[in-house]
Amino acid sequence: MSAERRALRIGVAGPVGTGKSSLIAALCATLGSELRLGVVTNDIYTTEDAEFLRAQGVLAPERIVAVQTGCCPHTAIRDDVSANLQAVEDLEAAQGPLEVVFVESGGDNLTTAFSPALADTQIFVLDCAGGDDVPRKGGPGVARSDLLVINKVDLAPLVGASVERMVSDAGARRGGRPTLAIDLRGSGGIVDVAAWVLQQESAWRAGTLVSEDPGPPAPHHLHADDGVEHAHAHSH
Amino acid sequence: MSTPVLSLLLADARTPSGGYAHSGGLEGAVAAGLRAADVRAFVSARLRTVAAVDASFAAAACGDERESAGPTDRRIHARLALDAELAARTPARPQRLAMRAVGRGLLRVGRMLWADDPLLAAYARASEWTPRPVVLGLLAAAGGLTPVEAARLTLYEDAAGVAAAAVKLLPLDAAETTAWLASLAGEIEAGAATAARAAADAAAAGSPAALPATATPALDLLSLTHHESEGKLFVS
Repeated sequence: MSAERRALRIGVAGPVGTGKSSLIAALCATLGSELRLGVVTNDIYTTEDAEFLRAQGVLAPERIVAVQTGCCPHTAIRDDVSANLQAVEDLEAAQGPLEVVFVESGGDNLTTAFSPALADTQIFVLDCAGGDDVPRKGGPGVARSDLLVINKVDLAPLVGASVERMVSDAGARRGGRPTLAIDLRGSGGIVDVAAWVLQQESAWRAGTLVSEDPGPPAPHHLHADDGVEHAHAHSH
Repeated sequence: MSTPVLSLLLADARTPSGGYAHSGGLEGAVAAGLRAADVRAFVSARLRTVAAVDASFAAAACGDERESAGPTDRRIHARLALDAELAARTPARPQRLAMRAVGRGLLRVGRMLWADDPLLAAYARASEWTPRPVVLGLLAAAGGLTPVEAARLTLYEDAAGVAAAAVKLLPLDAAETTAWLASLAGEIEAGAATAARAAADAAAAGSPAALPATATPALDLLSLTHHESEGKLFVS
């Protein structure tokens, strides 16, 4: 299928519990009347994320499919995307034509990044409750995702996190790529994420979308004793 | 490419075909009571039954020199006949789905390696199932491997796939499962020779129906239970 005809594939990655499924649900609710959407979820043990999304009622159940990944969420979106690629292709063939397919990674660590064979552009999701030092720690998702979302800003005062610090640390890592601080429960910010999705989709349709491949883990571990930065690869 | 190197490449779990998400029925067997000490016997039983069938189909799909000199039409027809014979030997739907998923992943790699191979291209268009053994045989043929090499790869991959899944499912040291694999080398080698002979005999008789049809009813039944179970790590 040619690039213009198939759906834009947006990868959504981030640590466990940061709100990836909720973000996708909110995007579907916001954009569902404008775009023909599909979702592929990657759960480690269950089809819980797909069930959650179906239960939200934001998308027809048949537009949401689950992929199981043999307990390797990172592998399934980066090293060997076979299962996910097949799921996206089958979803488009059955429900198509679709305009955007969200591929939700299983919750993983900060080294998660989508393969360019699977995602045309990608969102990395963090939350305030996970610690406001995470953007400073870096990693490919933080440093080079096409969009960084810092979620649950409403919780920041409750857990003693500084949203300003997170946004500013992220800005220092991201070389001008956008960061959005949002909260899905109150007023805020899903409209900005939806606007970013629409802008990516038009660029994709126009053939002008340029994604930054996050690639391998970024060096982020400073050894105080020798002052040398070491690449710090984690396995999950 | 040199054929020994090609063999290594096709046997390498890092070559992406989505195989890491499958356990060869081991997870279902563990749920039914199989213990760590039983895994080697489980692998060995597969080598004599379901993997032996797969290996004979891979050898048949590879075809010998005389067969490869024939017209593409006849050769593609013969592979589709293998699809049908293998489907008749795979009564459980979850197993048919699993064979399709990994076969399709492997075919994607093969199409990148041998984009101009007419048989691969025609099979990718014509086969509705693309089960792994037939695809592996076709890739072996495209790369100049022999039927016995295609059979050996099938048996090795079967055993290695179960061994890799075993360390995620049971309290086992991967060095120990690797030692088990090595200790099965004689069985794998003998099985490859048997499978290649079976393929040659079936070809001589002009009848793919003459290929082995060893049944594994326990694995078939467990695959159905596993497919419906919640909280699993592996697809199959």
